[in-house]
Amino acid sequence: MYEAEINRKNQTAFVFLVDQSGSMDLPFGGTPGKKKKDGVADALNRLLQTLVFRCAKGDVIHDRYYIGVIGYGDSVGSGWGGALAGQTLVPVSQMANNPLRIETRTRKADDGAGGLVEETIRFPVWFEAVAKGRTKMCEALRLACGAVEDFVKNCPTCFPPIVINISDGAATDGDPEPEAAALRAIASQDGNVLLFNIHISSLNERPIQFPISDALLPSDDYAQRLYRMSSPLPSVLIEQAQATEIDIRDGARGFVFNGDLVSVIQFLDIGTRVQTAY
Amino acid sequence: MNPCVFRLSKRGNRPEECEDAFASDATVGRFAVADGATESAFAREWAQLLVDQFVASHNDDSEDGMPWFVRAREQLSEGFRGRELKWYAHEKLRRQGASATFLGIVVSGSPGETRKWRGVAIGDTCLFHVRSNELLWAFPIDRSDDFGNAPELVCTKASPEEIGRKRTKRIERDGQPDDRLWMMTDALAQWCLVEEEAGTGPWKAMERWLDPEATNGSFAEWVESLRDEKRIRNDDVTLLAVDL
Repeated sequence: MYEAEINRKNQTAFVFLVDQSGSMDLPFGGTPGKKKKDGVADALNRLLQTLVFRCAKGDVIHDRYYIGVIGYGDSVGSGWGGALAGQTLVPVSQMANNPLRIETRTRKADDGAGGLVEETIRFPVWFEAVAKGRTKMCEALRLACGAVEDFVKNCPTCFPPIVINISDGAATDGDPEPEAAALRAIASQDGNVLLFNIHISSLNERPIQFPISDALLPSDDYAQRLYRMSSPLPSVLIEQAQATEIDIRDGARGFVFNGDLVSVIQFLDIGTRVQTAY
Repeated sequence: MNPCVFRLSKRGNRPEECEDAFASDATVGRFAVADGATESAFAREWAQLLVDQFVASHNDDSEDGMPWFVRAREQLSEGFRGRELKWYAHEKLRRQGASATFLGIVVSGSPGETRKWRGVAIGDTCLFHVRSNELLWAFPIDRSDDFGNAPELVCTKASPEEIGRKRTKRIERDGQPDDRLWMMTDALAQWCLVEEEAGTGPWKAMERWLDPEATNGSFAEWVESLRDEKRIRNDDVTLLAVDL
């Protein structure tokens, strides 16, 4: 289980559920001065970019993934805009070639001689920061269920789809735990759907990644609930993560508190790793 | 000393998508195999440039300057000059660079006499020196457990000093007439070491690839059967045999 190869004939899906409720307008505990909605938009755009890089072969994209973004706030539905508006799951090549815009940003980089040099980077934006209305997490989970069920029906041998819910946790349309359980119960021949939860909190607590027990979490109802909703990580993925020196122990769950979103996909779909230190 | 070469793409990929590369020039005794890193940018192009430059650099073989690496890197940037890349190709290249594992050898001495071979390796593309179906030397990896997801790489973003001094392994050995050097990329190399450790000796089985009637098609069938039996990872495979 969780060993199916991901390729153009046997794709997998990544579905992001993004909290766009009014409370996302509050400051982000992990980075004071930054609003939660901005932190989420930035991190999600980075994460989508990482998925594109995984499939890019020079100027060509291999469609190994389908990617969906579902926003939930005042309304619940496709989070894509521009040419992708209204779609749920799109092939990664279509996503790569249709960002809302490509921003030019500058940043300081190591010049290789102990100094810093300013460099210009291209930063595609697919997802804008939004914070408005209530938190219809249950409805978003149901929508994800439908999309993932269809995907698995069409590709029964796929590596199980990965659903990543990014929220401050306060569902206003009921108890999301049964909806999360229904989502996790969907399975391909290679295993059950994996549900990760990223808790973007206003609490100024240290980040926590892949905890093995709820005792390690802050005493916050929302954090506890999102932890319970998260899939226990399959042992084969834990082994892969450990081989890449990510600190994950047996029994860990796919839950991150105020942490780095990209770490969530770092240990999935591992090819020949390129060292980050040159 | 003309090498026998076989190559097969990862299952599910087209032949032209193979990210392994090889080059040889028997007249100067230079042979090279490289394996473009799946996750890096322009892996296939980079692997080919590295092997071509190694084989062509017989007039300039200083070890520390890594002239073949420097020239391959220049040629890669030259190829992009004036070309408008998609944002992802541009950004991936800028951030991660192009990477590959590499194995190059230089054989010296006259045919029929004791010969010397020198090898340089970065990462897990391997060489096996075999005499009468007995393994004499395995380079740079000699245990099947030592293959992983993060081999050392020749990366465009690294300096020649970093690659030459820190990442490169070197070897120099004598060989006799009829000794054979098998060069291959990691998936097949790991299978060879597993077989060697199990005492089933893969070298006799590999001899069939030296038969003049062996074709890339029959090689592909054999690798596919190993893949079916899950005895070899689904990865690009390149095999090159050099008889001393």
